[in-house]
Amino acid sequence: MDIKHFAQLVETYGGHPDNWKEEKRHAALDLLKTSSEAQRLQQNALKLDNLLDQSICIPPSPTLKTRILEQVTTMPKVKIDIWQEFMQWIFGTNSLEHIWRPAVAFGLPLLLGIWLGLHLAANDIAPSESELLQQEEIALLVLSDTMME
Amino acid sequence: MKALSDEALMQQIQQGNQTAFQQLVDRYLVTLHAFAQRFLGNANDAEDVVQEVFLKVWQRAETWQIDKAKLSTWLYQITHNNCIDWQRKSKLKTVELAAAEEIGMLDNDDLQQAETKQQVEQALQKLPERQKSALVLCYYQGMSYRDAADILQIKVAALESLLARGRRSLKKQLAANMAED
Repeated sequence: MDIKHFAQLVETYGGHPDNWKEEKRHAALDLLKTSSEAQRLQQNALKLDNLLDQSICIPPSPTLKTRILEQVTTMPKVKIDIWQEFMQWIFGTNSLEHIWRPAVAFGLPLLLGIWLGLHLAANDIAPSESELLQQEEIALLVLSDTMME
Repeated sequence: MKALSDEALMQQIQQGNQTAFQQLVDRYLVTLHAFAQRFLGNANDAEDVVQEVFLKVWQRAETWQIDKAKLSTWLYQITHNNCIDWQRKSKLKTVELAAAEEIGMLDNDDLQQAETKQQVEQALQKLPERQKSALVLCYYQGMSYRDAADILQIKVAALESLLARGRRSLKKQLAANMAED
């Protein structure tokens, strides 16, 4: 491992070797033994880690579990029927899916419709050879009829 | 009820077993609350979010599929999505610090520590959503990079990039804050 890769490693995972990717840890520790630059980079990363460690979580209040369990006993399980499952499939279950899923669900048939329309229109515009012959014969018959009159 | 695997527990919950659900709450309440608290910067909001998450899990247990995601990944995904929704709705950016009376009782060293804690939490809250999620999942929750990437529905390389950018922003932010002081 060179110093550039080591810098990337500590920049991503911090200064604690335990947090480094397993496949890179060994090589990084080897470099640390010999390179003062690597040691400096690790110390810098550890400074940020130490600051991050100052943020300590407050545990949940003891009543939270009771609240959840009480609410659950009064709340029936939702039986998802086929219609709901379909709607969930289209609209998703979170804010991100609420946007892209309907867009895909409604956009795809639209695109398919446009493609089909263009495809069929192209076929209509270019009649087959037999159709052309048929049309030509009809035109000649009409022409001969009008000339005879 | 003896300790079941996550999968077995979830199968029981899908059948409406409340004892299994209680075991699930015991197993994940603290970690999901910690995640939500770090993400939202507020313990009370985290409690509300986690309560919603567990209710959703109970009600929609049948939508979890064993072959699609690990239970822990699914739970974190729901919590993550609920946190984002909550934050967008409330636009709360306040960071909780120890109660005022507690601060009044702190000596100089403790006060400085409390201020540093506040600065770190504020800096974390100012990070873009994805960078914050990556940092909280990997650094604070100690998740494997694979699992964290699954939760955020991105590749490991993208997660690494988020982590690096997040740490850079934090460093810059904290250095600026400390220079001001």
